[in-house]
Amino acid sequence: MAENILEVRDLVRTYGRHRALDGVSLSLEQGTVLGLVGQNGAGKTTLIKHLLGLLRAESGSVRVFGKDPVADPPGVLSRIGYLSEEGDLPLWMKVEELVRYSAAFYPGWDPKYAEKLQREFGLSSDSKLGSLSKGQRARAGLLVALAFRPDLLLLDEPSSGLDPVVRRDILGAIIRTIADEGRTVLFSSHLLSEVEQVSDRVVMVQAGRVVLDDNLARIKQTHHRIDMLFQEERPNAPTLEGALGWEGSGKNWSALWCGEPAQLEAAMALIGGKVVGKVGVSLDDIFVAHAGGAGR
Amino acid sequence: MNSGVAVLGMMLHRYRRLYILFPAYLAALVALAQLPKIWVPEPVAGILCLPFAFGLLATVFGFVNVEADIASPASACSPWLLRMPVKTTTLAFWPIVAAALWSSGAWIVFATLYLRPRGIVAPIWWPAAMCTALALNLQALLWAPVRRGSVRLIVAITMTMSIGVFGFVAISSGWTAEQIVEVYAIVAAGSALGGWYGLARARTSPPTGLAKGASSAAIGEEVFIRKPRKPFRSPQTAQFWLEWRRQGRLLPMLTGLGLLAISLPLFFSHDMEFIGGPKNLKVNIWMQTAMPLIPWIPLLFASVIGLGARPADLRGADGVYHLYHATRPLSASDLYRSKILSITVGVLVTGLMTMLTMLAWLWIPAMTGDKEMPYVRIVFESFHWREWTIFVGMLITLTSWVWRNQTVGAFVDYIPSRKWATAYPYAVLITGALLFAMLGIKGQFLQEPRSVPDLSVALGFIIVAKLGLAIWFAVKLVAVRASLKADLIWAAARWVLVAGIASTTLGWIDWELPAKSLPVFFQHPVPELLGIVLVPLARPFAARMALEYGRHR
Repeated sequence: MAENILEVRDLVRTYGRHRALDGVSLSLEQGTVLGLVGQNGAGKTTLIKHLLGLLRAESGSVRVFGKDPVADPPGVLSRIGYLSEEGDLPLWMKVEELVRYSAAFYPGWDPKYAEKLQREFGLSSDSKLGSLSKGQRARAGLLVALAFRPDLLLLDEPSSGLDPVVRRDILGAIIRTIADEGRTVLFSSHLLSEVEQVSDRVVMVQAGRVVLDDNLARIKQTHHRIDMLFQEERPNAPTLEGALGWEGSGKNWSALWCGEPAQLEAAMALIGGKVVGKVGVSLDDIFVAHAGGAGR
Repeated sequence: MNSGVAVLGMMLHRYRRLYILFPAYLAALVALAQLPKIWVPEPVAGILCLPFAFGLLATVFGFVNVEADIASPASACSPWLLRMPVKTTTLAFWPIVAAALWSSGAWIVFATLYLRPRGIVAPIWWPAAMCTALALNLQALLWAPVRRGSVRLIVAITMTMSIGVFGFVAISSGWTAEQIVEVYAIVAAGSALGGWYGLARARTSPPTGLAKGASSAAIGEEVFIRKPRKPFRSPQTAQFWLEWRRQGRLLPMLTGLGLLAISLPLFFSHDMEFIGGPKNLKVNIWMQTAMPLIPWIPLLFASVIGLGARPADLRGADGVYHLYHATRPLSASDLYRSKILSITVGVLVTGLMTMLTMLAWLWIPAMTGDKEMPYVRIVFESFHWREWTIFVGMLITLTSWVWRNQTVGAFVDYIPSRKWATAYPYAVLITGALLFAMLGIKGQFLQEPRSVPDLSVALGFIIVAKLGLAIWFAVKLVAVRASLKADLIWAAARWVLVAGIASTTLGWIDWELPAKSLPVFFQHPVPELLGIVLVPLARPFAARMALEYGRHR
């Protein structure tokens, strides 16, 4: 059985009265690509900051590589390649200074690989980070996050606001990392098409809680849009376990349904209806349905 | 409504509290001036003047509408304002007119309706013109995009000081008020044109200012990749390099510029003056005048840095430090040590530069009777070992003071509360201004150094306030992070040790030297030192702990 790279148990974080994380539990096996999705303010970045040891667990526990990231920052951070949405690099540095400075912290830094990435990303040694475009800055951040072949690549909305070419680079980096045996990736994103392309597993966070955590293939398998016909007219949406986002009126209703396909017929019979159509849905639809459901 | 007036109205609305508070303050002053003098004692009347300068500066900044970092190459004007669908002339005209009228008007009201009724014969027109020139100059400097933000900062400081000092120098050199007003009018007109031109450039330049564009190549295209330089020996060395670039080298660079500026007149001034003594000594006039100022140059710059001039609070809204820095795989102790070490190296380099400059100055020839020889020879011949010890003691004290100012400023970011960190430079400025105003009002500053202990009430208040804050922060830290209690005790113990050594050293200097030859704060050192020099040192001593707290919120 693969080793767990990270273990989060009942993690709680509050900002004033706002509960940013509300009992989040999560574990990640080595070699997995985990897509972390959720609305703005759902708690994705707060969770990632806990993994980096930047936030201390108010209650619950966080372990990365079996260590507490707050108690042992060098032990944890030296194995994590991290890129954030904010592109928070020191803008006064030149690309070559950033590379030289970053290389000092990671024993596994590979200068040849760093140079290869620099060439691929079109980053001149003497370019100042502050004068680079947002996309180029993201590439510079990606370079220093990848060049030491991290055990865990942590990407916090890395594609946000970037053009398709840079997004392609980021996806390429994820794929490249997976290709390195035993590497693990956790990335949060709004762009669900990207998540669908590369993730093995998807965790959806809503209002500080994990509302969905499963293998991507299984999520697709267990989520369907179903059209239902009822024997009698219904003034309100029916109650069906696993159904999200009802639409319709009278005898005809449709919903996004989450559950084992084999159990659907039996569940429908209980509420006096039958399934007249069933189609697969995209991750986008699933996300919207879960987000809307939790919002209500 | 005219679109320019709408833009101005927006600026006024944005800082509406300020534009209500400042006139209200002026109105209160005017009302106070009508009261019998006995009701408002001189020191109180003097202290009440202090907010004028701060208020005026703040309201003038409102007309600049600063939004960006003024040390960046980009225009400091709000980017969205630059995109407003109005002509540049319209965008610039009304804020320029308003800043000119507001700044000169504020002084005229202050001087005619407060200072003069209080019996102070304050000049009206040339200071009003000076305020206008200062305000418009500030707009021009901050609106324009530049190639290097640091150059803007240096030019801004130099220009502001020059404009401010010019009037006082000119009036003491016998210029008439009309002549000074004319000069200021020329500066103001030039600045207004500069402001307009700056806005025009800002609207057409990229958001990064006029800095050289990125040499980013398209994917796959050949890029310039320099042969990698020798790697850093360890993460700690890399972190030291970063801290040196960010903070440590600033003081030597500024001091170097200061030393160069003060040394330049030596190349032109060769006149000598008789300074007496048994050897009938004649020395270079500039050396005689400026040499005593040299040791204070590093202290001056360190004080500016110590005010938190580079605060750059690296915390986000959730209190977590700048992500890139916080995610370095280093312990809090290593991060702290790198910062302290870079500051210490910077201070030592500065001290060495200062000493070498002074030594170079001493090689200038002096005359004893008819004989010409390097002044250094005369100094070495006449110094007794006791004078050397005192000299070394003073040197150590000054260097420590410079180090103290640097470290206190460097760790402003580490004050546990972001609000306190932001308010820090203002708090220091106001406390310092209050202190100097009280000394000035007593009319005894420097003439009667022993008057300092008369201010024991004020000093006592400062000590209590500062210690109170330190204790409050400490309690707050321990309340949220009980594990830091041991660190806190160690930090306090180290601070007590340093305070003890510093007080003893200064006590010894005080005892060794005749009272008149020492600056005021070096005499009766313990309470003053605790209040002004030593108490703030609690911050760098507690910084590792604050870093730990801020890094893992």
